[in-house]
Amino acid sequence: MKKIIFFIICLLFTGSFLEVRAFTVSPVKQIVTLEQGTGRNVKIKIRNTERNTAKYKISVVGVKQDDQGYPVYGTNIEEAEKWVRSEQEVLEIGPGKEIEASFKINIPKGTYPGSHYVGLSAEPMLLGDENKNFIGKLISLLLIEVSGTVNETLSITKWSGEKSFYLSLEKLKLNVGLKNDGNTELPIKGKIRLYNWLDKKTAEGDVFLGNTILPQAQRTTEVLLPDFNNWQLPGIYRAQLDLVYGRTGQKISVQYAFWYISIYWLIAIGLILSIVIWTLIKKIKNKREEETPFKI
Amino acid sequence: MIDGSIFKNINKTIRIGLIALVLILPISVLAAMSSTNYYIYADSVETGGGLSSGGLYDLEDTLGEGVISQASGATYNINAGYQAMVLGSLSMNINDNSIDLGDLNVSTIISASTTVTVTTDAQTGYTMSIQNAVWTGNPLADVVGGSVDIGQEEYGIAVSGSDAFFGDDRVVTSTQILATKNSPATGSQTVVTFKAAISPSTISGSRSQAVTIGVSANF
Repeated sequence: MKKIIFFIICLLFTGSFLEVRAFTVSPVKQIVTLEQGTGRNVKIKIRNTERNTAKYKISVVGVKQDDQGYPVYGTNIEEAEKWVRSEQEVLEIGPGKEIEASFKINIPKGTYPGSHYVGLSAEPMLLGDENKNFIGKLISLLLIEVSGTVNETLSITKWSGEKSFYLSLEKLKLNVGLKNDGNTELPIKGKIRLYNWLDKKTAEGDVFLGNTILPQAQRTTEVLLPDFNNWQLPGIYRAQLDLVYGRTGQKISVQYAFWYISIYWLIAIGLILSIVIWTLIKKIKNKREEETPFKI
Repeated sequence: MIDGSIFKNINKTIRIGLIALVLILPISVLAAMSSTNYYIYADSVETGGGLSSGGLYDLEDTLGEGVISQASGATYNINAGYQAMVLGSLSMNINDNSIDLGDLNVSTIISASTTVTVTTDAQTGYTMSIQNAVWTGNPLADVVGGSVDIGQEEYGIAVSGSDAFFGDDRVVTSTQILATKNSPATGSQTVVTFKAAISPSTISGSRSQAVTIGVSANF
């Protein structure tokens, strides 16, 4: 009985192992710069890490960037998809083996300078495809830069908080909106600096705004204000966002102003006002008592 | 008879109180600082300002709806002939390529899952998203309100795992991100669950959806 159970367990384990669809693609990204009207070949490597020979569909996909900076894939979403062609439709790879897939790039004449991303993809072709309804492809990113003069321009479309008055600045979120108005991708770094009404810097911290921004892409994200001492002077504050972007290391700055009075200061002011008012009332009362003549 | 000294005492008390308040709560000025620099207060999305120079930054606003700050831009030349490769690899393993929800009925929500395992040494990490979702037969209605409900015709997808991008039920549509990580990943597992429910008015018959996901390194 135990032998039968052990045999069944082995079968199940083997069966589940054979269901595995595992493969590897490299490199993760490559960059080429070409003149308009010229071309070049690029390659990716595909490794079959299964125990059986497998076939892979090789294709080109369009790659764009969503407003949070993540890649999204599709067809007919990027003009550079038409510039790149796979030189083989299907590759058969033995177990544990690795093969190169080749792609030809042709930049049309008259193409404007700038950067473009496409995806070089490999997708396993599964036996009994009609029953296989969940398929995965691995995509190696290809950045094509068409040579010429490119422009790095970044816009800050939003820099604001939810309110204009705060009692606490703990975990205060600020909304950032950016747009790449140029024709090349922009790596980006940022810092937040907080200044009080005396123009004194009270807090500073790095912020992560996502990775590079693609041409004409928008980015919307939230950042947290750096740690802040709650006993800072109340008054008007300015949160300044300082960005360094692009290969030319350009800088841009923008500010968001708000009022801040911590709850502790409000309590202290309230106490002082109460004491002042109480003292005033007492003095007035004493004065009135002194002026009231005795009635005999 | 009213003694004028009472007013003197009141005034003195008020003055003391006002001085205390002024010391604690200074009146702030919205105008520019005392130096030659000035800052653009960006509490709206309107454009404004002009040139701010000095210090560390050069800043020039341009007019244009929705832009509150825009640098003047810089140009440089890209020269042909450059080629570079970001070394590293990307691996994926799907444990089950056949998702079968079986027979649906109005009294339960049916679900089926598969696990996607991703490994990459790309420093920017990876993103997994739906590239394509194509129906054959009458499609089921998309999930509404973040969860597939019993007795309603709804179809959606859920993900779980350390890199899962969302926690509710979402529409199965292209560009929907399923998992992401901003650093290298080793054996990161994401469980992808498809869920469906029907209502008494759902058209009977078989239908299927082919879903293709794509995995790449982040930019």
